[in-house]
Amino acid sequence: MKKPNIAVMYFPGNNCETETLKAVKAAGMNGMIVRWNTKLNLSEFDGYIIPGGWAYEDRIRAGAIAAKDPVMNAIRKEAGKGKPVLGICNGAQVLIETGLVPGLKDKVEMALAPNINPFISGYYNTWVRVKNVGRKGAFTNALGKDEVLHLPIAHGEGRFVTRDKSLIKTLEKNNQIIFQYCDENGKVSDKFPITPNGSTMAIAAISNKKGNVMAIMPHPERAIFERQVPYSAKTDKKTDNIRIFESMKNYILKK
Amino acid sequence: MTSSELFVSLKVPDNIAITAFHALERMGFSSLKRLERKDYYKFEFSGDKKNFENKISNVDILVNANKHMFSFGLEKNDAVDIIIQDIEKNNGLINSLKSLGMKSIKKAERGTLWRLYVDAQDKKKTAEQIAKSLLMNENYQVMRVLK
Repeated sequence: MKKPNIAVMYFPGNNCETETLKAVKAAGMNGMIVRWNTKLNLSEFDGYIIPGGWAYEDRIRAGAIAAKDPVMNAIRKEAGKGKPVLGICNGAQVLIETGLVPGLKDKVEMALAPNINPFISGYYNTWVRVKNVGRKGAFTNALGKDEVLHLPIAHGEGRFVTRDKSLIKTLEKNNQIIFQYCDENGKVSDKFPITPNGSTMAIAAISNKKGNVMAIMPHPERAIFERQVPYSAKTDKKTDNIRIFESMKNYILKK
Repeated sequence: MTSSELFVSLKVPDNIAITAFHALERMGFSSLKRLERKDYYKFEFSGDKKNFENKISNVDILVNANKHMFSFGLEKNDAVDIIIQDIEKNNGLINSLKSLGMKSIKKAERGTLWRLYVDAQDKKKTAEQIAKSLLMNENYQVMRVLK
C-alpha cells in the first residue's frame, strides 16, 4: 500500500518543521518540508501539517499574516476535498485566523488570545494532559475515547475564545471539541494549572465540522519518542502521542 | 485623577507595519497608500502631569531612546488613526511600572495605534474595513477610531 505523502508547510519563522516531519515518518507516512512560496502543486499531497513556531514573527498577532498568505488558499481548497490538515500551536493559530477552524461560517469565528495565567504573563512552557473527547476523527481514530495524552505546550497565545456566545454550544453539539485539558485521571478542568492558559472550556484542540481540519495547541510532535518525555527512558520507543499522526495516516488510507 | 496618552514608534523601519501593508496590498486593499504603527499606552495617575510624563518616558521599558520616538498626544494629519486593544486587560504593565518606582499610577492600558493613509471617498469606513480584515481579531480585541 502506498504511504501517504504529507506536506509539512514552512512559513518564515516556523521552528518545529523538522520534528514534525520526524513524527510523520515515525507514523509510517512519507513527507517533506514545503516552503510557503513553493512552486510545487500542493494538490499532489495527501495531507498537510502547519507546524509550530512564529510564522512571520507573529507580526500583528500570532498566525495573522500566514493566514492571509496565498498558499493558504491552496490548503483551504484541499481541505474542502476532505484532505486532512493539522495545525500545531502556531499552526493552530494560523488555522483559527483563516477561519478554517471551526469553519462554520465564512469568517474568523474564534481567536487564540493571550494566555491568562495567575503567575506568568505571556509565553509559558509546561507539560499538560489532554483528553480525547471528540469523535473518532481524522486525528483521533487510533485513540481510545477519553484517552489521556501527556504533551508539552509552549505558547503565549493559546486561549481559545470567541465573542459568539452560542458558538461553544454548537461546537459541543457538532463534536468539534477534540481535546480538553485534564488532570492525570482524565478529569477536565478549566482552572490553572490543569488548563495552563485560561482557554474556554479547557479546550486544547478544535476541528472543523467534517473533522478533517484540526487546530491543536499542545505539541504532539515534541513527545513522540520516550526520550523526549521527562523522567522517561532514553529510548526511541514511541509514545501514545504518535497515534495522532497514525490516525492521520489511517484516515488517508481509508479515503 | 490625571490621565496621559503615550505613543511610541520606531526610528528604524517598522517591519510589522511593512509586512501588514504588503499583506493588505495582496488582499486587494489598493486604497491603502501607507501604513504606520505606534505602541499606545494610557495612564491614570495622581500628581503632576509633566513630572509623570517625564518619568514614564525615561523608565526604559516603554521607550528605548536608541530606537524609539515618543509623543504624548498625536499630531494632526490626513490619516485615519485606529487603536486596537485587547478586551481583557491584564495587570502586567501596571505591576511592572510600579515595581520600577512609578507608584503614582492607578490605571494603565496598552494597545496598538495604526495610522492608515487611505485614498477613498469614505476614509473612515474604508480604514475600519481594513482594520477588521487583518489588524484585529474581533473575538478578543476592540477597535477605536480616533478620527
